[in-house]
Amino acid sequence: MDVSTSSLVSNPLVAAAIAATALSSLLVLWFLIKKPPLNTATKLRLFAGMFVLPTAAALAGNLVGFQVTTQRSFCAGCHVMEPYTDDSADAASTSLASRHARNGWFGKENCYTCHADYEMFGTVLTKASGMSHVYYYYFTDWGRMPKDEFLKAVKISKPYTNRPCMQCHSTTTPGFAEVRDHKSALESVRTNEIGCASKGCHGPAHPFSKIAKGEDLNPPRMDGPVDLTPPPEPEDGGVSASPTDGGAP
Amino acid sequence: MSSARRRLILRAAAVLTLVSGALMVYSMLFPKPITVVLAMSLGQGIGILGVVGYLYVVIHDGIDRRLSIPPAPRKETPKP
Repeated sequence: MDVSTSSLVSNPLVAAAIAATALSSLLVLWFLIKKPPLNTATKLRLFAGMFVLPTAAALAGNLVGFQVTTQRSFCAGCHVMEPYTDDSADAASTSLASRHARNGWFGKENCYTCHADYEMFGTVLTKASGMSHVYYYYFTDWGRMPKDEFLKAVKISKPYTNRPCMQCHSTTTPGFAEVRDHKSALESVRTNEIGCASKGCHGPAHPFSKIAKGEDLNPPRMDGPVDLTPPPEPEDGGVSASPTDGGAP
Repeated sequence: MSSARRRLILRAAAVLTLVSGALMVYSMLFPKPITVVLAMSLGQGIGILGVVGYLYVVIHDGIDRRLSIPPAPRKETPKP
């Protein structure tokens, strides 16, 4: 048993699902081995063993499945994702993803928290789009691709929007608006013309996000706590391009 | 449906239930993308097939039993 397995066994839902499956298996095996006559008692036992208990196990199993798929360790299940998950877990990393992972509200679910859609059917749509990753990994050459080659060949399927960022960074607080870059680009940020995670602002989110696009790899350093106090106005009234201007968790 | 055929379907349904449960437990103990996807799609599909097989046998058995019961004899009323 690996670490994730032992932590899962301590989950009461897992314990309930395994117990229901074990009871169901006992009843079914009793029928297969003992070969009892098909009377009412046998039918009732089989009803419990083939319908009631497996349904309970499936419901608990589905809940566990949905919980598991939000974990960073699950994303790391595909080896090509390891550079991303390793960076998130690296306490010394200053990437946007890693800094969010160190935030208690994201923690070990930081991949899912930032990449899940938030609409009414957001969870379902996110799970459905995740199925395409499973397809590409197991039925194309993604699964056999070396990690460094994957980083060059594959990029995010559509531009990352600011909507997930704005679930926390609402863009309406006084502290946010006090940052000059935020103030000058507020509408562009809200309409996704400028990406929060773009290079030059707070991104790229991962140190190697731009390899597939052929851009250079110089992720902006955001060491230390973020200072939300507005910088002094420059004499010429220009706009600062500092990537450390506020808004980070 | 013959008794042997009924028993065969029920045994197949029982095996399907075991396979489905094994897939579900394996996915919870080793939560990798392929195991979770298999458990939540193929595993549950197999489990549903098992239930359908069970219900098919039980319903047919009930119908056969009902048809095999002879109708109650009618009481003859004495002619005046």
